[in-house]
Amino acid sequence: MTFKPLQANDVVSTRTLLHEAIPLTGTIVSGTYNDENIKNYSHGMFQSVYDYPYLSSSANHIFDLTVGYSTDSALYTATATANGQKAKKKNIYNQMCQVLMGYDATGSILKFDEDGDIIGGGRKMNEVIIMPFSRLLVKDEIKKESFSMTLGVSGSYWDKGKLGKRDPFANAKIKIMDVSASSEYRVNSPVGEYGILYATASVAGANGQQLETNATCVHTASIGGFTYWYAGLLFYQAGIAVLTASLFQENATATTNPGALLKTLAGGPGEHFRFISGSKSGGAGLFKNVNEALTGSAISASCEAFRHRIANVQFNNTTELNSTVYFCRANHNEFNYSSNPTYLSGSKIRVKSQASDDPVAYITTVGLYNDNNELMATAKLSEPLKKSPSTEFTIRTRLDY
Amino acid sequence: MSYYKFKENDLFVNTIEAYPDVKFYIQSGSIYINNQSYISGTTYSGLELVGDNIDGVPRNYISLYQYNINRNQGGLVESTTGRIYPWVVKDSNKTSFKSLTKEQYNTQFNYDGIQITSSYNLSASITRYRITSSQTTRVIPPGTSVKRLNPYYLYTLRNILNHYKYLSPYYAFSNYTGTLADATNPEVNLLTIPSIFYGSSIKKGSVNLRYYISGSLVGQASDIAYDGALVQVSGTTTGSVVGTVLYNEGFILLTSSAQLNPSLIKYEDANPTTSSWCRFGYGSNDGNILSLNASSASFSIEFQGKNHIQTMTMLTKAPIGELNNSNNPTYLKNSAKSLEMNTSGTYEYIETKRILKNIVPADYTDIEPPMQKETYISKIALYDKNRNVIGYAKLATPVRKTEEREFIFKLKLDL
Repeated sequence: MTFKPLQANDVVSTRTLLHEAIPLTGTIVSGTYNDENIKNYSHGMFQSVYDYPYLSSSANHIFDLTVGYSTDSALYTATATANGQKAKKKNIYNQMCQVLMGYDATGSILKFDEDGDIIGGGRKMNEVIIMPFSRLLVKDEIKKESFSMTLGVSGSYWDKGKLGKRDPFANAKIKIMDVSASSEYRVNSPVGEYGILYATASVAGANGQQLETNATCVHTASIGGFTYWYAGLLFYQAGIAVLTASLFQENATATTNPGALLKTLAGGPGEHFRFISGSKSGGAGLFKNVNEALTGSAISASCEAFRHRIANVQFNNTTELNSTVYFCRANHNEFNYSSNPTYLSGSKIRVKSQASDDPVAYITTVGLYNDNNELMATAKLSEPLKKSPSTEFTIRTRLDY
Repeated sequence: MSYYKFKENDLFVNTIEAYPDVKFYIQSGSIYINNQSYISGTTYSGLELVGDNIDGVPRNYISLYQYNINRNQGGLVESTTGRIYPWVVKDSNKTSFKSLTKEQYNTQFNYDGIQITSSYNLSASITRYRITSSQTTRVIPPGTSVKRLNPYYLYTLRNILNHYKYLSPYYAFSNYTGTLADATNPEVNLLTIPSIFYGSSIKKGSVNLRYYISGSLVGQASDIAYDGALVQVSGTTTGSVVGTVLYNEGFILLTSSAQLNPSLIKYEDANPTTSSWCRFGYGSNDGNILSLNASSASFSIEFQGKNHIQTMTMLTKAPIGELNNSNNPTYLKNSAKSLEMNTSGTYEYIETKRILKNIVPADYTDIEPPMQKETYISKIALYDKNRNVIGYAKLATPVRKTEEREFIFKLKLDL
């Protein structure tokens, strides 16, 4: 065994990225487990979604769901004080904005900005659906430009199989993605980087326009020659998706609504989009659109309605693996002898028959020592390396942490 | 809010040694880990089944990550559930998965940013190897792939076993080879326990083996001397050494073929035989097809693992006469104006006086007690050198801090 000090050029630190593909299909979120995997709390401020009935020890928490609105929202004003958890929706919005967007120069809370350009002003998202993903799934961060979510935007979810009306996924779906986020992300958030979520329709019309999305909507951006609809923000390190409630607003023909992302399909205003159903048995007047849900229903009711519209969520996460590589160099004239007891036979070097013979040793292990010559780690070779004065090795030893 | 810097004696790191209990119960080819039952998964029509265990690993095995609970193997289809899987990009860091050989890494993937994928639902379980004199072949013919017979597993333990001779003479490797050569006592029963079950080592003296026939205990062995030798403590041959345990490596070797019970049971042999420690664990991933008759024998393995958990203890101090002011708006009397209300002129700048709320407890409602500065400590924040919050410690109930009081809050963080 011989010690050899590592030089500056022998040590290099690297970082590699391990990813995981995370599919969260709609059947996990609503369907397979008859909502036994959904946990609602007595405070009513959010609901938690698990990948298996949460009473089982096998269940993993996958994400939470909640809604909130700003005091600047018309819906805030429209909500009766004692109704629909008004204060809690406001507090949730403000808290999420404080954490995710931060404050301006006067100390006021910045609101969610639809294009992330805070200095440039622009439109704010005053009513949002918030989806914080579990750290188990997000790990260090969500990989940019890997996020996609498909939402069903037809009918009311309790319609399915009840009144012969619309299945949330039957006619119209929209897909939400962080398009071109690997180069177009924002860094002006206190919790790290975030990207803009854009919506597209699942089916394109004859003129290239999307079927479900409102062509006259003002919340649009053009990327690569295609039109996308602003749908929200995705905070990569925090692992939180913030979606605008305008996703579920329709442009009713009678009262033009340029803020709505959905266009009205056949059936007339109000017929197309029922965000929430007041009763499983259905019936006239029991349905609510997204505005009515936010002003007149509890947070859990909006979460339920949104959750049943999730057809699929897919993203890749990232784990940073830090490594240090130690290049252990065995020159031709080094490490050719061994202090192993079996190296000697009758006080003579076993591998030499006469003094002029070249020595030979086999390298089996590389030990890494600290300044005090204390052994910190060993690296084993899969098979011993034959070392003699005619050979020279650089053994690349990697330490992951 | 005030900042304090940790001093030398305020921070220290300890190691906690934890001993988690582990139990295997083996019966009729099934292994129950820590007495947990298995839950069947959902059946997807036309697709691969999740199987008879929601963990996505075969029964009798533990799942490493416990991801993919009740998920189908199939790809991403909205009507079913795809699985979470890891991947890396092949690049100059040469990061790969252990399941790939060097040849596979070099030949099956290009350097154009190709993804190297792997799969989760990694599993582990105990395995039993019964080594008899009829399997003593130790030479692999060159150039041929001969199935490695069980004795190879024993021979790999030669150095380890001989190393522990200083603890007990029963560890000597010659004891085991002796039994292989001895036609009258030709058996070693090797049980392997993966380290996921015990951590850094098995706790010495904690191993307890129980042998049941038709539900009745016929033999029990444990390491009563803490030296690694398993001594039978109940049953026919009480007091004799029946095997050894390699605590750091996770192996149990049983050598006793003394009869424990006269009932004839169909073990590996062609004919039913009586029970002995060499039959212990029959059916635990040993490749045997169990007969109905063998179901009357069941086995339990109990031990404690050993885990080392580093914890950091931080002593945060609230000294006398300090931390007696709060920036909380409710600290002021509700008639007090905020700081922005001030008067300023060419020669002066006067901030509005602010009146603190007197929260000193009093016995009488109509007499206000003398004013004292008091705060309630509700949480302690930990900052890095750049004053970024890196952690919070919250108190169950706020602690009343007067000018006369001092506190030390002891915070613990598992590393």
